[in-house]
Amino acid sequence: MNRQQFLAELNQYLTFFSPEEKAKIISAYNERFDTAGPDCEATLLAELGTPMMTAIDLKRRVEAGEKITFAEDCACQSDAPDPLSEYSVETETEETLENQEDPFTTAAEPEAVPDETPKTPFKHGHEHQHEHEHEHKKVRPSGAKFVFALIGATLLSVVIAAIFLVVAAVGVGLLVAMGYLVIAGLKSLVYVTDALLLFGGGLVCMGFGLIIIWFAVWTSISLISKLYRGAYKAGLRVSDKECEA
Amino acid sequence: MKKIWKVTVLVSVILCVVGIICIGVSYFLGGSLDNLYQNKAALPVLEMLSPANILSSLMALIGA
Repeated sequence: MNRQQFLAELNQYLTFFSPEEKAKIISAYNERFDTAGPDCEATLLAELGTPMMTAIDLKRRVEAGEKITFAEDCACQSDAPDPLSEYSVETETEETLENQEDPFTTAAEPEAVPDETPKTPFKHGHEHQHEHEHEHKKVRPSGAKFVFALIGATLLSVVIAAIFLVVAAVGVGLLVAMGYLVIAGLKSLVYVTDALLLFGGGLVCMGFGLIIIWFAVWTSISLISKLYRGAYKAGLRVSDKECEA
Repeated sequence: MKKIWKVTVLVSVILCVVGIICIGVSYFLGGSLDNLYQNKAALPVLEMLSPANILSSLMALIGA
C-alpha cells in the first residue's frame, strides 16, 4: 500500500467525522507524509498500520472525548523536527462545543487550547499521564450557589418533563388513533374508497405521532441536560472564585 | 441522537406522503367523508376520534 491508497482508504473510513474534520485529518496525515518524505513513507505506513485501524483508533478517541494529537515522529527521521509534532485535533466533545472553540487546533493557534479547561486531552507517553494527574486535581463544584442551581434545575426539569409528557401523550394518542383507523380500514376493505381513506388517515396520524413523540423526547432530554450543565458550570465558577480568594 | 432524529423525520415524511397519496387516490375514485360516515364499520371509530368527543373526554379528564 502506498501513501495515496492509504489516504484514500482512510478518507472512506472516516465516516464518523464531519466533512471539515475529515479534510483536516486527511490534510494532517498528508502533511505528515510530506514531512516524512518518500524515503520514510514505507516506515510511516508500517507505523500507522491499516487505514481501518487508524480510523477506528480516531473514532475511539473521539468517543472517549480525548484530544487527538499526532505527536510521534516517524521512526526513520526522529532527528528532523516534525511540524506536526505539536499539531492537535481536538474532537467535538460537549465541553468544546460549549466553549465555542474550533475543534481543530494547530500549533499555530496555541491560545485555542487552554490548559485549565476540564477536558480529557489525549497525549502520548508521559504527557498523557501528566494530563490524567492534572485531571484528578480539577476543581469540583461546591457552595450554596451550586446547591441552589441544582435545586432550581431539578424543579425546572420536573416542569419541563411534565410539559413534554403531555406532548408525548398527544403523539401516543395519534398512534392509537392510527391503530383504530387501520383496523376500521381492514374491516371495510369491501369499499375500496373508504378503506383507502381510513388507511391514509391512519398513516398520516402515525407520521405526526412519531414526530411529536420524538420531538418531546429529544427536546426534554436536551433542555434538562442543558439545565444541569448550567448548574454544574455555576458551581465551578463559584469554586474558582473561592480558590482565587 | 441526530441520526435517530433524521430517521424519525424521514419515516414520518414517508408515512405522511403515503397517507396523503391514499387519501388522494380515494377521492379520485369517488370516495368522500360523507360516504365514510355511512360505513358502519368505520362509524364508531370516526365518532370516537371526532374533535367533539376528544374535547369532551379531555374536559372530563381535567374536571376529574
